[in-house]
Amino acid sequence: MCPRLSGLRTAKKGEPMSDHSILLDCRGVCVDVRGKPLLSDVSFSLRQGEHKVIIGPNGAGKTTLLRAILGSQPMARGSIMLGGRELSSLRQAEVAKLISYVPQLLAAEIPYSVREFVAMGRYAYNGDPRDAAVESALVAVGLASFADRVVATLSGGERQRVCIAAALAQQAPILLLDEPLVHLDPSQRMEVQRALRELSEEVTVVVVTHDLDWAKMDFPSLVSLKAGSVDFDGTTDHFYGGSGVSRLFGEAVGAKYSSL
Amino acid sequence: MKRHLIILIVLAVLSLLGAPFLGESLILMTDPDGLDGLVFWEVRVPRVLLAFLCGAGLALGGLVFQAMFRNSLATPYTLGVASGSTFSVALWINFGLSFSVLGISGVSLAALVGALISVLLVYNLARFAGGLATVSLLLGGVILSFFFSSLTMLVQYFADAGSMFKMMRWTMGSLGQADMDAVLRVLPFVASGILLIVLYRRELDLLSIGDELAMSRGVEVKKVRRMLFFAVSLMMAGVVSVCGPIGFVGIMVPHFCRMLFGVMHRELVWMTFLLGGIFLVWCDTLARSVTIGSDLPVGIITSLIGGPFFLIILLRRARV
Repeated sequence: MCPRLSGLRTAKKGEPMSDHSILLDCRGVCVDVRGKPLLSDVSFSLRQGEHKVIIGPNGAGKTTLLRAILGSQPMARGSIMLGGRELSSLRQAEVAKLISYVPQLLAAEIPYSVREFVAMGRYAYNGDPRDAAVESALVAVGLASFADRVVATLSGGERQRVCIAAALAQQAPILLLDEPLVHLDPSQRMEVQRALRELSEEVTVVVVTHDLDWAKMDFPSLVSLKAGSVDFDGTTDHFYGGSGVSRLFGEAVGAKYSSL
Repeated sequence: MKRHLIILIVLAVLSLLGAPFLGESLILMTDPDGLDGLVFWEVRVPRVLLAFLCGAGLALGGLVFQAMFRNSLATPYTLGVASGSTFSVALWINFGLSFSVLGISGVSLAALVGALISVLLVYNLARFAGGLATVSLLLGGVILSFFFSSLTMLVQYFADAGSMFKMMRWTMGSLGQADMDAVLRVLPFVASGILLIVLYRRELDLLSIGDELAMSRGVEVKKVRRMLFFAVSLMMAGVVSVCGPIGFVGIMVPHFCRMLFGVMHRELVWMTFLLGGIFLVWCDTLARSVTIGSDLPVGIITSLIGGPFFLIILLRRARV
């Protein structure tokens, strides 16, 4: 079971408000499912403009953490502050204006056109497909000429960029991506990596991935999860310089990354 | 898109105005105050109105379920909601109960309870068995359908001959009971269901791309789902309590609408409503015309057209 966090919430009360650059602040997040703890006492924060990667072996609780941040996974204890406000006090549309989400890989059978799909990102604003935000989101991922194509006819890499565009159209300060490179071939992976790298500096990005090379290459800060707890929270250089990788994935994988 | 909508509105108006003249015999209204007028106003006009309302409700119910379950074969009929409602009404008829609450007839309420229970059952059954968008949903629906049909047959078996015949005819899906009273009984159910669906038409697009994604875009998924389930149950209850279960309208009409008019639910809701109404008006006109002296239950006609249609979609999906 999750350790009690006595007094933690009252002691920290108001603190995230004082630092306006902190967009997301998870404090002592615990998630239990049918009595089994999936996350215990997970804390980390995210500053404006930060690009952070969350890594960890399968079953470490990465997806559960994402779902808790999106509000779709109830927490047993702990608090998540979004833009200085408690997540549980926000309506779904208010959350959508603060945080946008890109799923693993979009189901292949989406019958909507790229423009229609991206325009769904404007739901929280009552926007329509002719919105300027839709257009600029399409431009941001290099899909402006694809606007009238049907999503189902696109390649995996293009579909993933469409999903990123839809999330950008949401104009939320935080962009959350769950394994955005999974199931993609090498050239599609590069295409998505490039699209993410070219996002404007203002967008704060959190990516969950298994890709240790990508994490090292593109993300300055890193959180690692192991068996539902935070194992490391700091700079990526520090993580790869120390014993972080071997703690998570064993000596063999660790040796490969320490020699790089 | 605007043009398509106008064409459908014109077709709907023409159907509503034209269909009452057609049938087993052509009414030319040479004698508006005599028998012609009586049959026209007392029998055929209510019947056409009822057919339109029921068709619109059934088609919209199908559209909503297909979006919510992300499955083009999901309808209140294929998922067992219609048979749940039917069982509930059969039980009602058998016990010979009759009362009304706030002007709503007991039989409609019974149908609503049956519809709501089966919606809850099929939803949780599918979720338990492994996901909404998968084959387990249809399987759950089929099982539920058989289950409720058997219960309905059991009720019929123990019923006396008179109410058994009534139930038999009614479970085939017929508009034969149509009078202005029936129209007014169905109208509040179908109208309030449609109103709710129109309110949530943008959410239908988002639900059809997945719950988690819809939620992250700002949709209150649980609340919207509940409201839409309630809307469909209302419409099914209205239709089933008067006409019995009429099959396949909910599968064919939304499918044609998506083929003809695109996939955005903002527009599809209106198109499906109109085309559903038009479709059932003409199916029923056919049902009234083919036999002399009595009319064929319209459910037989929609099933005869719909069965093969269902099979074709199923086979095409299997090949993809």
